[in-house]
Amino acid sequence: MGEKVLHIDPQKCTGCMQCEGVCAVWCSASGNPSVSRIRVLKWEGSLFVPMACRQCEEAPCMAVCPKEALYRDGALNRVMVDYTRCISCRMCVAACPFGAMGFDAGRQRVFKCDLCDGDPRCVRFCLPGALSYTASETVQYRRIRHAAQKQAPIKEATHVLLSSE
Amino acid sequence: MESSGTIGYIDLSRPETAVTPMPSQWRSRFLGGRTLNAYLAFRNTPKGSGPLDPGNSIVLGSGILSGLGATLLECAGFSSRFPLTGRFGFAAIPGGFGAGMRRAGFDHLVISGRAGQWVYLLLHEGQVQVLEAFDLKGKTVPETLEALEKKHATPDFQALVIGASGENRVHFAEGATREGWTFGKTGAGALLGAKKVKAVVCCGTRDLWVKSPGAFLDLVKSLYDEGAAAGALGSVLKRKGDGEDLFFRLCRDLGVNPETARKMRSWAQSLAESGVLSKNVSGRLGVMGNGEGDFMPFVRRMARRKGAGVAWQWGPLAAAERLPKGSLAYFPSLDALFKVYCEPCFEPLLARPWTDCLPDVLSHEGRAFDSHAVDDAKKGRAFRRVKGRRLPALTAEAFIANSLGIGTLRLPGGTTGKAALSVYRDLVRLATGFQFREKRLVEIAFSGYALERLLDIREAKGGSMPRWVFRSMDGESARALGGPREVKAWIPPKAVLQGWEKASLVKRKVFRQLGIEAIWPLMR
Repeated sequence: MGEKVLHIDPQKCTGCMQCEGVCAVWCSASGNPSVSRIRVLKWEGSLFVPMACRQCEEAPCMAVCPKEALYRDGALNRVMVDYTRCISCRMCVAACPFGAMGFDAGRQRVFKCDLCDGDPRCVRFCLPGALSYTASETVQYRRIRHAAQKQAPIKEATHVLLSSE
Repeated sequence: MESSGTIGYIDLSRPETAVTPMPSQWRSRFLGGRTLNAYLAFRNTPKGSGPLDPGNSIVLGSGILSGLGATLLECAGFSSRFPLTGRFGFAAIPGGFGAGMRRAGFDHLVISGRAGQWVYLLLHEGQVQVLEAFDLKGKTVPETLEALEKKHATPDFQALVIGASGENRVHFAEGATREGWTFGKTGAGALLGAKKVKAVVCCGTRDLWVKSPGAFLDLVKSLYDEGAAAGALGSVLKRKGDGEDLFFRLCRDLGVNPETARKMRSWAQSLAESGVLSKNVSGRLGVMGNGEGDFMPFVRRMARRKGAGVAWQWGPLAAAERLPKGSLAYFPSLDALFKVYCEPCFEPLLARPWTDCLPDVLSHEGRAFDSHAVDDAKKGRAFRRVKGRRLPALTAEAFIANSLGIGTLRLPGGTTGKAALSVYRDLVRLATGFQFREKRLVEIAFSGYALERLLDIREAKGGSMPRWVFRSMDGESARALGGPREVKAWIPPKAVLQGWEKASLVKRKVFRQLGIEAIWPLMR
């Protein structure tokens, strides 16, 4: 089994915002979603899209950091912040294409998702199952299954057609 | 305890705003949420104010657990004298509005007066602003939310808005939140509309510190797990709008309660078919036909207060007074009639919305809508007592939970009783560090109940809603709804023995016992 990834399925998200709340409380002891590492965005109708750090392989935040304060933790394949080196210049915040790097004005330091050391709290509390922390192969397999399920009726119809011939 | 909190006062008639710190004794005496809402309403509502009068205050309130991470359980409160029932009541606002209020720097907001033109209120970083809302007038609920979200493009945006029916003061117009929750089916929308307030918006990023984050989240998770295992989290996890038909969506857009609107439409159709309504009126109302599309014109006319739809906007009883005698007999059923006048409570762990309506009567022993009260009665905990007064356990717990800023924590297995009280106490202790005895929680519930009841006694001269309902029905209607005896059965004779009737309650020593002596002069 390969590395685990935080997988987000917006189709299952109900917009309950529990992930935001629990992340902010767990990571900052504050019920303030602006310091949450995961944010849920609402689009027209009732579509909600949770957004969190993708732990990119070629991470732009790492590339722009002038003090090399961002580094990859091999054990969980995540990007981490070394606060002893960080000078809070916020270059990483500007560089992240997903807006997953944040800045905590109260503590004057940047923050990002650290996957709660392998047990993401947002996943634990996500009751609709929109968030999962799972092996990357499983994510692909789920998609394949979903696509195959859609094709099942076609197969059935073909079978009926052939047998009638 | 971290802080006592802040209260905002807005007088829309002048307009004037004031922000004051909450006295610490209010926090310890009333906790917050529902109970403090009732106390603030008492202090700020002049005697004799009708529900839609400028004097009638609306109090919005969060609780001490709002915005601390138990998101699925949270609800803010909307307290006022509601137009449909004429009673002082409380409507739970599920979702993040309470958290938004606290992050914007407010625990409670008292709105009084009436604005000269359409406005919306912006709560931002401890300040209240009254802003013009010309461009929002006439917009539907989703359109209003979208326009406000564009205007205040912050990630911490929270809002409650009303639709066209609220603007037109339809008595069963409700409010809606950003997440798609609706609240106040007995006229919260009309109350905001009467004050010409189209929306209340919160934008703020204040920190709300949690004392013991790990332990608090563990306790919350165990509650979720219990709820999920019992299959009782359906209502809070359902994506809003899923599976709703066209009629439901139209009602949501207009901000009118769909169940009440549907019942009113069915009633109008029955009246048209039986010839009680003339063909001319039926034609103008557009009530003939059973298709989904046939329901639309009636609701649109009613919500937009147009033509023949005007008479129907006050609810079935008031409409019956204007219709030919005996027309109430065609209402779907007595049960349906009472549900129109009941404010549902928010029970996140159990989708069972009809328990807390008219708490002094319907959750009374043997008269409850739900079977839990009977189970609890067997276990000997159907009632809670303080100084000789009794309150149904369900009602006491609803008051405690709503005063904390959450919904009632009840599960299909029935956790009413000591277990539930200890859960409430532990949630507060872990989240805020505030320690108190379980008995204190019950006393707070009794104070809250007394405050709401006293406001009713002061404004409605002691008449409870069911008695008033019965008076509104003529003998023929009552017989058609199951007979006068059945209607009378809704008024349990024991209700007056609980110590909540005027003669037992309006005494200075009782006010002192319940910790609400400060309002004694306001009672007169």
